[in-house]
Amino acid sequence: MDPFFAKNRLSAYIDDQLSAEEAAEIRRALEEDDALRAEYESLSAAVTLLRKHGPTTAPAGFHDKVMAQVGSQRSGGLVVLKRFLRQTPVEAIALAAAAVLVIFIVGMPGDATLGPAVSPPPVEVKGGAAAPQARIEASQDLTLPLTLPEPVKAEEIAAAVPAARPTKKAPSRALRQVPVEPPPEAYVAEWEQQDTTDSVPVNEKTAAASVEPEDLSATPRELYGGVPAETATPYQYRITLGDAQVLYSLQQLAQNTGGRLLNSDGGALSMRSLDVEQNYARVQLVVPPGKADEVHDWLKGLGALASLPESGSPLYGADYVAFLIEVTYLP
Amino acid sequence: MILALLGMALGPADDELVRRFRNGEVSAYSDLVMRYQDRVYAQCLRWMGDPRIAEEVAQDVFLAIYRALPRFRGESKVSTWIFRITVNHCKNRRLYRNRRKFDAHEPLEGVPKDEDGPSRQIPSQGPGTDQGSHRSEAEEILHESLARLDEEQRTIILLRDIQDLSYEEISEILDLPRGTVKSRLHRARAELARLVSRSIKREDVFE
Repeated sequence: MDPFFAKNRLSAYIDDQLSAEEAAEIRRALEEDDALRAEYESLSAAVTLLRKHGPTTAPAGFHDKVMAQVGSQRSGGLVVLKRFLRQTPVEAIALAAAAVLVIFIVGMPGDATLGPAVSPPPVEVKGGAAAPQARIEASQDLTLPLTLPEPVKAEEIAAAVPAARPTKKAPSRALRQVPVEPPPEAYVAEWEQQDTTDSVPVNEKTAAASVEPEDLSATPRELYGGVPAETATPYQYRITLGDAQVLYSLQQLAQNTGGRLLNSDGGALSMRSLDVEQNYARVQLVVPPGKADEVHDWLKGLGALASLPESGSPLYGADYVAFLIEVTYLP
Repeated sequence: MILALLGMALGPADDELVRRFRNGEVSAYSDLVMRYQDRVYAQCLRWMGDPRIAEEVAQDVFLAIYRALPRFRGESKVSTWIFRITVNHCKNRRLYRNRRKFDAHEPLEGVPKDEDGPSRQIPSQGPGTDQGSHRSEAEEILHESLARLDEEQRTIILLRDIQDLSYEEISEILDLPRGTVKSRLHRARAELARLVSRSIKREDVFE
């Protein structure tokens, strides 16, 4: 056998992945070729080292810690509801409640005073050893009003995002319909410990393979003009959401604010849903300066954590503002 | 690890545990954690290099599994699915830490630093993240050599030689053709062998 081919088959030979014929050829080559034999012994030694010393056991108490974490997740639905209520103005809640009441009464067949036509399913949030299915049902019930259509329709966002002046105190209701999951405590703690003046270069390596650049030549600078990208200090946000369609939502937001959603290299973005396996994306939202507050409010409304203070200088270029957004999908 | 493998062989199948969990048995999830905790932790530890971070990431992995299990479609083996989640969590965590400059240690003199790999930690005088763990010399060499592999090589070599997964399973986890897995694994092992042999003589490791 050619030494080159033999050398490239040594790993498969160690794993017993060769046909009987090929394996016999390798055995013969090993007997004849000292260099190949040395290579084989070196590979075998590395594999033995890995197999002997690689496996390890989880730290003591690991299982209990995981189960405790899972237990603490069970009231997640209530947390979502509390956060939603805290972030929504009282007037908006009252208005929504009134609207629901009117719809309920108008839509009810027959005598509306006799009672509800449909009994709402009981929301049961058990503590301790609640069954997972029960937890999920409770969570779904609690977040029902917050359900996001997939993906968000353009007209919905268009209706939700004010075209002219953004309202800082009360971002649009429809945009807030994105279900908000609380970020894991560990992430929150780490993020909050960061230097708030820390900036990430725009051309930094992109995350995972969740966002694929289609056109790396199209930079924000070319799209919007202004200062060179390498001097940029964009706003930075980190969002942890249970919304697999969050990139589509951001895309819609970009369209309705006259901006662009780009990958973190400044190239065009391939849109995709996130999932549990490809659960991370890093994107740039570039909008006209007049829309910055609106975007800021929207992101904060989603529970995003900003790494720059609100008073920090947001300007990325003379004609636009960039938001560097890290999205982690946690279903 | 041996107990976990024994449990896997003698206990209910992974699919059965998933089915029971979806029917409301929390204990089935608990069994799944027990079954995979050593392997997931080992993957995280050998990938990240730091026991504290590895434990955090492994916990995140199991939390993600808990949340995603109700939607697990059974299109792949449970073990393959778990390792895919583990691999992605490790990569995400590494990217996050790199960006935040958590690992901005200076490399030791004369030691090239792999940008994506775990940093070589300079031992501190006080209690550190490795407190309580006493690595053997062989483990230390393994740790340092793995840290110098690039991310792709480290991932594939851990899945094969520590998790003992088949080429087909690795192919599914990494979404690569089987032939690519084979060639990349060979390159990864060759590089590891080079790093290991540079560090020590074989006799020292296998004494």
